[in-house]
Amino acid sequence: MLNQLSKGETGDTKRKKPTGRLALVRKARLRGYKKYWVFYLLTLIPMAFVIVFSYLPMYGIVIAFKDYRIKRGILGSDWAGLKHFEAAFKDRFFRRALSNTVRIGGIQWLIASPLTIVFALQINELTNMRFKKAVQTISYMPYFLSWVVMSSLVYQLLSPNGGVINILLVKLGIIEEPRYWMIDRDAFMPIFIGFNTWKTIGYSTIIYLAAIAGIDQELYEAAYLDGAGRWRRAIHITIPGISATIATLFILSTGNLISVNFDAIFNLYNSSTEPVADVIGTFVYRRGLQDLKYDYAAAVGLFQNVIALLLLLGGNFIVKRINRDHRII
Amino acid sequence: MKRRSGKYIRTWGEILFDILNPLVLTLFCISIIYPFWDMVVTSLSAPADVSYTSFNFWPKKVVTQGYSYCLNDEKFYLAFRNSIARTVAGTALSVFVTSIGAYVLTRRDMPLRKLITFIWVVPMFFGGGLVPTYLLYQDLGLLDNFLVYILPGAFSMYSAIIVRNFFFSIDIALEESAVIDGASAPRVLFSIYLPLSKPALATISLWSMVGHWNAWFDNMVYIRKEPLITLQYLLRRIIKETEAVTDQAMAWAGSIDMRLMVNATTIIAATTIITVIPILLVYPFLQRYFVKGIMVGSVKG
Repeated sequence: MLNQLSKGETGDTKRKKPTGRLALVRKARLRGYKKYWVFYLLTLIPMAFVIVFSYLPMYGIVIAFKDYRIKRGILGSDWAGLKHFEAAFKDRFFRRALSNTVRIGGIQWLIASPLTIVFALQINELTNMRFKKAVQTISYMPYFLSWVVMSSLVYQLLSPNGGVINILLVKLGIIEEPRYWMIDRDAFMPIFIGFNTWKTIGYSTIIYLAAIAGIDQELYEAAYLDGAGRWRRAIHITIPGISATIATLFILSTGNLISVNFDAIFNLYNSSTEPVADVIGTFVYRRGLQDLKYDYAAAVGLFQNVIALLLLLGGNFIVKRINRDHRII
Repeated sequence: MKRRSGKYIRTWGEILFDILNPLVLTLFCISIIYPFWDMVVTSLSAPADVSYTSFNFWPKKVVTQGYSYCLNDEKFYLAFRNSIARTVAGTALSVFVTSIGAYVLTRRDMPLRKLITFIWVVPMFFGGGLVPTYLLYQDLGLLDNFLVYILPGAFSMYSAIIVRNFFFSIDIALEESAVIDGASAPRVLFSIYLPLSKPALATISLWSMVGHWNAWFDNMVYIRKEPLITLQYLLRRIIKETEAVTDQAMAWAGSIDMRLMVNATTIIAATTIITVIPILLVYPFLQRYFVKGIMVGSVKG
């Protein structure tokens, strides 16, 4: 701090007698406040939004530890300690949501991560630049659709009434007559993971393709001259070249284990598939905003957010150990 | 792995790969394009022509009744207008607030800068959650208020970092000479930094536009008033209503009367297409800029 401050202003500080480090810092800081007063005023604009829309809800978390009564407000309600958390772990439906979250999130994580890398390598191996560009353009596109539109496409594709997938399965003789897949409990997980991956896989390759682009081309040329084929170059140069990126993304996405994409679940599930599809996010929504159990739902939401944060910080800690440049905080 | 006079010869495996790889990728691309095409065909088909047993690559007869139903529906008109309004207003506000934040973050030697950065970064990783947010909006009078669409997302630290990094690439001499000429800090931002940062501003406005256009959750949770409905939520509701009807039919008859869903199918398809078109229109621009956006994914204060 001291170094940074005095760098630009050595001319001023030299003239005055230094009266100890602290005084110097204080003076420099005061001068900084004066110099930047307009910027502090500007800071207030974004700061107001952050305080109101991010920090005030964080303050509202205290209701997770209270017996919230609407009439008495947040401050006036009595403290309840960890009552709601204890209740949650006794709640069959919360436990169901928790296990669904970990199951869906975990399988999604294990399937999507390797598939994305394979997809990136596949794109990278294309030699026709125009075709490569077309593949990228088309495969990135679904990322920009909302899950409402996605659900419309999914319902249409899986419709028992002229849906392409049913027609295809019937023609191939896999099923005898069209089925209503959206209410089929066994089908929910494949549908969710399939379409979620379908939507995001293209877009997720961007970061890998950028990492591949950063690999020294001379390595490829040297390997080529040594007679290494495409396969060996991919295995021995491309994959090691992006291994840091792979490790980083894999570790940092552990958060998926506790927070499955709410939008996706919420737009794909229904009362028939709820037992296997209900995750913490949707559970909080129903308990909190439909059953109006504000305090209980806030406690469950807090539990999820804290676990997600811990997973992220833990992942970040590991990444920092591997490669400082890839850390996120 | 053979070499003959310096020329590289492909192995059989590689030849196979060079055939299969484009094939697999082409199939994947078809799997993306076909559903949209299917949707277009359905939206332009007469309900009776939607075949149950064979593919419809082309409408038997082009009928626009799905679209005319949408365009004559007052609710649809309202939803479309609200979606446009929130996208335009929300993006404008967001770009304004975010670039001010980015500008502040460029002052490397400003006291308290680290604290400010910290305060802005924390919400990227932790939030109050749904219920506290809902209760807060209730207290603030944001329920059933158009402002709930545009205020909460107005400042994005993620976007601010992208813009800040772009600001760093602008020659500081420009700012210095403007300051010598007596330009105030906001003036430097608005007449030097912003005009020179069009690519970064385009990036974050496109992000914001897509986010606003695609938003539906805030509509569902915070808005009950019908006149404030947005297109995405309207689409969701039509889909859910149709689903409920189908479920009921299943429960009653044990099987689905195919004709029951068809009318709704055409309307859903038309609404979906209309909802997607604006995204497809900005998509070429999006694609040009978003790669930059995703690459600035790291926060370093």
